[in-house]
Amino acid sequence: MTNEILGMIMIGVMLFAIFIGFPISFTLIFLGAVFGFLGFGSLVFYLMTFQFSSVMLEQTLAAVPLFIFMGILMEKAGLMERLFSAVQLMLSRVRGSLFIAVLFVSTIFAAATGIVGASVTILGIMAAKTMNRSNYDVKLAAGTITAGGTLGI
Amino acid sequence: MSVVAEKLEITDELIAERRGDPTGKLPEDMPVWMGKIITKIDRFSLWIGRIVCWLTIPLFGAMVFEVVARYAFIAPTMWAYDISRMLAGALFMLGAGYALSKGVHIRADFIYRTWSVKTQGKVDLFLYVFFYFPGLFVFLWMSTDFAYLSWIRGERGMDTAWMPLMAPIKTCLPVGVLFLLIQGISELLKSYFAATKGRWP
Repeated sequence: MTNEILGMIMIGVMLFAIFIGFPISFTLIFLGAVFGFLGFGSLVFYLMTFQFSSVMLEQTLAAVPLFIFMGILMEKAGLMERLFSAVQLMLSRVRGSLFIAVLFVSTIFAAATGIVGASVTILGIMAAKTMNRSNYDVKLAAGTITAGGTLGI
Repeated sequence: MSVVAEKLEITDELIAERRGDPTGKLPEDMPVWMGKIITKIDRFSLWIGRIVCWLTIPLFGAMVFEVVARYAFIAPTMWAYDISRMLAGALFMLGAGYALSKGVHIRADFIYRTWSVKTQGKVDLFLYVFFYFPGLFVFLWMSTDFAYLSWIRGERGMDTAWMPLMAPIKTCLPVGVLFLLIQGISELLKSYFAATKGRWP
């Protein structure tokens, strides 16, 4: 069996296993190890550990806990609530003003963080509460936050 | 088009939070030994999570110190970069078991959540046995080897000027995987219960 066919099989099995709904990380660990072993031999286990440690020591990912911490701090202090309600009052003539506010804030965060997870989490912590309280459509609110978060790839 | 938050379909949240309460009552038709093991392991993971989360504070402190020293006093430190990325790495690895106990590892669950609880339990049980444990055991073995070699060689990081000892951070790998495996036993028992009794504990 050539490596190309092995790769195709791996992609098929991977998609199937992901859609079944097992946590993706463990699926990827197992499938990567098994198919890598078929393809490379035992070298793949060393590569796996090495890759893990290099992702673990990634400097950009260190920003995620810090941003989440900042978001929780701001949310607990009530800062963001007041900010969002101020924006809401300012744009009260516009329909869906909070959506615009969230998109605006997420554009700024996208430039500042550069990590999708961080800005989605922080906006989810900060904006979702205000949006819920103002009876916004929850599905559309969640969509706005996640779409705004992808600006920061 | 407006949907009240309480009336929304909350299957996602249930999947994420059905194991939320650590002191919640266990179902009465569960075998006693199973309940005991699950309670112990979950409490253990909860404490691990509570302890590990304090790593954020030194991380925070290192970053603030570095920024102030670098931009206000033009005296950049050598250690802040390494310390911060190592603390973040340790946070990720050691928190993994806690995250599993809360069920927040990402699933692509748009098919999964339409199934009955029994099917969910069966699929989970099967995949825990055949995917989770073999993969993580291999990984535990390899990363122990990796960390052990790093300890006996006194390895130093070659990519920064400070050249820190790499062994402690590499030890976090097997330790984090060990926490994951311990929590995995609890999850395995829970999914077995779900598969046989038709509801999540």
